[in-house]
Amino acid sequence: MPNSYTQYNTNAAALMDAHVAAYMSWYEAAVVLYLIAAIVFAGYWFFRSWTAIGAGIVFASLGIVAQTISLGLRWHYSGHVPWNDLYGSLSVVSLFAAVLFLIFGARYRIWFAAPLAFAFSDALLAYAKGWNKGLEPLVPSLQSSWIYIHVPVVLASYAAFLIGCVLSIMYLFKKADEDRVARAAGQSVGAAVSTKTADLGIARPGWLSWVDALPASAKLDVAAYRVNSIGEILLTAGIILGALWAHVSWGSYWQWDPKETAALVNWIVYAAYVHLHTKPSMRGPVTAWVSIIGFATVLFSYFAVNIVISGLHSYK
Amino acid sequence: MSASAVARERGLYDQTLDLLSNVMFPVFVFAVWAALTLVGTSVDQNMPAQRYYEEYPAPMANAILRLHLTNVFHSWPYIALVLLLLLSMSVCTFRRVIPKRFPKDRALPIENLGLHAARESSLDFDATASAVEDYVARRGFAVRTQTIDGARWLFADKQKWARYGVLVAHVGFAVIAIGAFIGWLWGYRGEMQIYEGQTVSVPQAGLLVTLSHFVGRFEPVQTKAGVVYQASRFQSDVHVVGQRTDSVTSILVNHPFVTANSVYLYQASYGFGGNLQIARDGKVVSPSDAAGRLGPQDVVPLPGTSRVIEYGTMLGPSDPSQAPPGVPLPKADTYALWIFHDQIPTTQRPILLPVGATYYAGDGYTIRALPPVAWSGLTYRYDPGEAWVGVGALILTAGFVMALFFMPIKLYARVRDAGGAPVVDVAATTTKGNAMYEDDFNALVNGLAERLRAPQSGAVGETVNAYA
Ligand code: HEM
Repeated sequence: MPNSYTQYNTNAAALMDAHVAAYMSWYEAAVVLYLIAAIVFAGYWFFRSWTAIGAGIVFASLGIVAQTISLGLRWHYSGHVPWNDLYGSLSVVSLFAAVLFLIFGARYRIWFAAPLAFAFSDALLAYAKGWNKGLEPLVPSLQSSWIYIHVPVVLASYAAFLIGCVLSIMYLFKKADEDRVARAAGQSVGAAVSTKTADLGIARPGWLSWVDALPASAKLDVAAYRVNSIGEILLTAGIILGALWAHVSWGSYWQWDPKETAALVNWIVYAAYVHLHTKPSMRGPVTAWVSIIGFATVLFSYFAVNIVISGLHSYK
Repeated sequence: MSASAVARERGLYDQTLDLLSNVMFPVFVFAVWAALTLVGTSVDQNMPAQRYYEEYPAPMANAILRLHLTNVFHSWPYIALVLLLLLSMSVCTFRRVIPKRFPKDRALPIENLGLHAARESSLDFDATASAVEDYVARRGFAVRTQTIDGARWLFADKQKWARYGVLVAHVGFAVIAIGAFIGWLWGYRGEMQIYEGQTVSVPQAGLLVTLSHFVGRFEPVQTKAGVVYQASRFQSDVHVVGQRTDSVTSILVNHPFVTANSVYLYQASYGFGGNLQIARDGKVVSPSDAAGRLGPQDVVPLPGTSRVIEYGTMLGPSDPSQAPPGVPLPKADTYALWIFHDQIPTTQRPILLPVGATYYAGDGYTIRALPPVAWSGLTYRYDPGEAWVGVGALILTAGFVMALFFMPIKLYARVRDAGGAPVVDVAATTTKGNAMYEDDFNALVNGLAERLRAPQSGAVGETVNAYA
């Protein structure tokens, strides 16, 4: 008597290889293209050449195309959204980071941050490879239309925080440089910054010459704030969407499982950030460090929780 | 109470309110809240004490247990922290956010504002004044003009409504809290376990639920460790009867059934009961109903003997997800069980009994394995606060977008006669304390200067945020 409770697809192993290889080759292309983009963008730091930025945009866009094809193929072959596991979601974070960066770059003129932003997101993407488990059926707990919206919104917030963190790191470099210039010149910070660094003959290690390409630290702070604010809006919406999903699908908004509480930590840190930022006396190194710590907690909730601490949400 | 004591108490009261409404207060509470939440995330919660000693070095396990870090999220300091935040947020909303007015239209020393600039105009006084007005209006500002002490003043604002963002966000948070409270007060939830063919009643909801069939589907997935079986579908076919509800329907994970009274029924868990047919001397006997729905550690005594069957578990195609990676799945569902005689096991190892097989249990008894009976675990819940939470969530998000994405700007411009050419002074502020960003301001002023130089050239494109 055939058992009505089961259904086998004994061919799964054979199906796996060719299709996985197809989407992985586009994935590998994206990793390489982003790396090239990061290196080419860095040309701007040293040569102040807009050609570097133009070429960087071309490579970054090619990377985005390759990655989109890879995710599209995975979607097509698996029959469900590709962001159902750690590999897929990391890949989506880095795709969003690349796309968001191009948008922010054009809107807020932050191309100077491109080398670091692309290096970070490419590192995430390259790391994701080890978590690729091929094509798997979607577990019942993810079979919902909420997955189309909740997950991408949360992942987009992570991408924004990545860019915010990069800008805050640059802020700290620039601020340190401004302070050093001010000290060396024995003048007020403002006056010293307006004086050409080279004219003052200040010995700055050669590898730090790129900080000259950065705008004033106050502007970096504003840029980081804008990006982090967008991240916090997205994270708020994402957590709420997740809670509503849990409510209509499992019967409770919040189960205090590690993934949820980790997202709450991220949200709280950035809530502290936006509140701190309303105080002029805190705007500066303090908010920059909070922004960096915030991204560290994002990485924590991502990796520690997905990999080490298992819970309802752990879909590695 | 003496007058001075009253005054002192007033002072304390005001000081408390001042403290609660200072932005640094929530920042501090946020920091503690984040740290506690991080601890709760990292330390396994709600485990038996023994587990902590197995998992951590003894001193750490001691610390975890003594500091009660085993149930952070329901501990009173944690709840108190959230309440403190709500209190502080309310105080702050009434003391700072609501009273904060948009600056009035009045003459003020423009040079004292953070962002200010002066530009000479090559037009005459009146043409300059109307050029400024036209320029600012074209940039989306609402403009009002006044003549004060011979100077032409212009007051303009943009995105004034965005200053309500903070208020809206805080109100949204409060509405969510109200909804959660209503749900906690009047809502209920619970679980039921129904075997195929069984009917279970939910008195709170006035429902009768019958499970006609349960479907579990699994797909083999090739991993490095071997094939594992991953669930792809859990479905309960049920008949639900209650007030204004009489439905034959399927409940799936993520797809609950909702009754006319807004009671939700969710697919939560599943399992398979062992099913044994017991016969003595070839004649079927039924020692208890339970023999057909056996769960782990269930015991069936064999009447008239000192023998009992202790049921263990089932492994097989009906529930392949139980198979460890690489362990081949038995062809047929197989029960693992023990038979005890006078409390002594009759075999060294558990007896493995595939469906269809028969086993001689002693004293004339035979047991025959029949196909397992599926059960489904359903969660039911009723939450009258959910609409509040949903609306509050929308309000909170809208407030965040208003507060963080848009910036209310107030612009001041003064056209004055400085002897020669008219001079235009411009300054900008926002109510949020974030000075209108320098770049936007500079772009605005440069555009204005252009306009004052070349009246016929029409609108000048605005360059926003010309960063490096
Ligand atoms: C936990 C829930 C809270 C949420 C979701 C929240 C949300 C927000 C948002 C989005 C802003 C706008 C930030 C900006 O304009 O950059 C804000 C500002 C503000 N929040 Fe909260 N907040 C919360 C708790 C609190 C608490 C407990 C206080 C208590 C003092 C507080 C005091 C303030 C103040 C004073 C501002 C405005 C600062 C200014 O514009 O000068 N908030 N809040």
